[in-house]
Amino acid sequence: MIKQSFRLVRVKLLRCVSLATCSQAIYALLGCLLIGSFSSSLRADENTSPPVPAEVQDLRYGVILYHFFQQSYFEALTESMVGESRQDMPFHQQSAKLLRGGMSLSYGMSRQAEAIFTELIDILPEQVRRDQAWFYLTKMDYLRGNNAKAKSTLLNIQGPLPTALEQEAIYLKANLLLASGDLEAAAATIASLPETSPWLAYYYFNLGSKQSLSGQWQQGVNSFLHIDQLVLSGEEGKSLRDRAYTAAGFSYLKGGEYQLAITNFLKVRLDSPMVDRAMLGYGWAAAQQGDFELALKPWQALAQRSVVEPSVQEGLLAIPYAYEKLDARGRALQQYQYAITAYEQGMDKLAEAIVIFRDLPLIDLVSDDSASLGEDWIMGGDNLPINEQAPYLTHLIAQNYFQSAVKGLSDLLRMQVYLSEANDRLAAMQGVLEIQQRVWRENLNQSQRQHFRQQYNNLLAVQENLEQQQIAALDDNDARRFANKDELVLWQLVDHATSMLEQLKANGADISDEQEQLRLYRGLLYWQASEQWSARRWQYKKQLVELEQLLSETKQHLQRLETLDENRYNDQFALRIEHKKQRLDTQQQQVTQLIQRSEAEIRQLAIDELSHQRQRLSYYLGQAKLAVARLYDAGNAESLP
Amino acid sequence: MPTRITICAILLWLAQSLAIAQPPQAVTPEAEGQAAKSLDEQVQDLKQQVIELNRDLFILEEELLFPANTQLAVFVSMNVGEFFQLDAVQLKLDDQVVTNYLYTDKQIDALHRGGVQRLYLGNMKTGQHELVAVFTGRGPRGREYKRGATLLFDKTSQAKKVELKIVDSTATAQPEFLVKQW
Repeated sequence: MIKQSFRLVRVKLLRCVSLATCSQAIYALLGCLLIGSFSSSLRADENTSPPVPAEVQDLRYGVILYHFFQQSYFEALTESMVGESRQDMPFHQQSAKLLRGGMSLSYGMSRQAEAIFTELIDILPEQVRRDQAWFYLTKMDYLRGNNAKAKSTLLNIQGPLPTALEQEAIYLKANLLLASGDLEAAAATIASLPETSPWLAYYYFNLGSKQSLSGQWQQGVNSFLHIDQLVLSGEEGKSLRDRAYTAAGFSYLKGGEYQLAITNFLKVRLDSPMVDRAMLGYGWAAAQQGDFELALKPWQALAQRSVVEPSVQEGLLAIPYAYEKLDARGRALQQYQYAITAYEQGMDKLAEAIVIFRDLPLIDLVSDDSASLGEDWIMGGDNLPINEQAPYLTHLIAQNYFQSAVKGLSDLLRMQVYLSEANDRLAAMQGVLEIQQRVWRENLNQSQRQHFRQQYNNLLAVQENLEQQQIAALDDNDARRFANKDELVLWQLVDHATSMLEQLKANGADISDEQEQLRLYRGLLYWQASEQWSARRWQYKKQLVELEQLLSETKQHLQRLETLDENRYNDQFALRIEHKKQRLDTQQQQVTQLIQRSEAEIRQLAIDELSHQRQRLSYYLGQAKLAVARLYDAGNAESLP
Repeated sequence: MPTRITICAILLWLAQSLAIAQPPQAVTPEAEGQAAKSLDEQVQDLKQQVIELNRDLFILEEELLFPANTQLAVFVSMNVGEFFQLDAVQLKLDDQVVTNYLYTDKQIDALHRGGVQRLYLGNMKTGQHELVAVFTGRGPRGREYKRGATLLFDKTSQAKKVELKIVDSTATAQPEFLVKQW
């Protein structure tokens, strides 16, 4: 039973009950739209099938989508904000922001979503995207019940929107017109939806409800039964049909068409959550025809069900009423007493549940362990510590305000986990930073850096000297400047011999032969040097270029070392870590306080609900006891037929 | 009594039914709604703050642990993927296994729909390196499939980003594994 309620909750969440309705299905579609596949064939009921992938042009945006498609909104939102901070999504910047607005809404941050959409309207260059932003703003206003603002916001959509959104926009418009009482305009608006649109069933249901509540029973029935003609699939479709049959049955009942009411009540599936109400209505329709024996059949079947259901509670009173009408007052008395017992037991259990709820830690209500609270957060309560009391809360769980409160607690618990992980990450970073700083201190102190810088400067001086030599060689065309080591030795020998010959000549010696030999030898050396000059000059130049490259790389390494070193010793990282630690501590305190407040609120909501149910049972109990007294007053109990 | 109860049941039922497609305010007691809203606003603000803190931590981690001059990031993407059902990826850098990643159905679906996974974030010295990615899964006709992609790349002082792309080759009806340097 509790699972059925949860399932209904999920069905409602997927449609337009609360802000969370803009969740996975619609945003999956939004995601596909944002990466470019504006396929006209897309329909809302195709939301869950993977769209044709389009290649993203910014890796960061692809990573956002990766998290988004897994409904990991926290990670996707973080990545999106990192991208915005780094400005590394030049191609998808606006799409990312639009997606962030959608995800913020999905993640229960409607205020942030509204701020993003409002900002985007001024900066989005494409009308179709501005229209999407207007659409979501409209939807937020509508879901907040601000119909007047929703109406005016809707007018900004120039359209057409992508197909699925367009259909929802039409549905919203028709609903707004319905709410303002303009049924004719609403009908004209909804007429533009294709017969296959999933929104039609919701529109006709709302229309039927409005008509029936205003006493237009037949029109209401027509609207409810129109749903039967629509193409509806899956459990959600079946559930909608059951609701429509039940509503049509009650409308017929009020309109005095009892047989038609029965026909519709009988169409409700036996395993439907609606079956209790349908059986109750079936009984009343039969009773209104005066066929109390027939009325007893569904009511007796209903009485076998749990007394926590309001329909069952009412059915317990209806059975003896029918027996009274059949003039079986003894049986009626017996059934009233049975009802009294059932009501009293129910009240005792409710009292017990109220006591339990006063002290129950509610964290387990939303999670069976501290692990993931993903998409199925509300199903996490399979191991509810309140299993026995859970059926009493079915009605409460189906209420939007309760869902919002539980979702809030669930989100807070998730935040607590994130903050705990952030604490670990900060501690790890602090550890790494300490190690890095120690290594730097041990391996690269100030004097070492200066030594490296000095070595580099010396090398620069050598390079400059070599370049000067090259320039001089080109200027004086001295072949000896590019001589190799062996040749330099020979040149030194020639110079030495020349000097010796000069001395001998000064002493009067005849050195003409030696001078001639030396001249020839010098000429030979010049000739050899000239032959090699061009090749050696090129080689020399090449080596200088290579040297320059090496020195350039050395300079970069040196600069990087100095920058890194500077950062380490400036302690910027340490300061940033400390700052984040302070923020983290504050947020951890906030989340703890909010969890306590949220738990208290949920507990109070549950207790109020249980108390309300107890009051209702108390009312039925009073009615049953009065009936018993009335029967006793009418005659001797033993003599009752 | 029955008539009154019946009307009561109908009206209650219809009122509740109408709420299927109405805003929560239609069924929320005003006082409770106000209290929830106040708490809700605080929760929203806190969420935003936690996301901002996470963003700052992310950036700090990158700068401290994976500075641009040594950073290497490897991503995985999939285009169509009809010819290959990915199960796992093994990533080797300079003959060292740096990550083995096994995919869930949800992750595969996210890749199919255009998401890009950040498979690896690490540090490398500047210079020549070899990256080898081995993809395992099911290929055409459901057969076990194992293919590798190799990249020789030069790590400079800029952050290096490499995307491993699984694409369908319609010409050969086979998957292709490409490596793109960003």
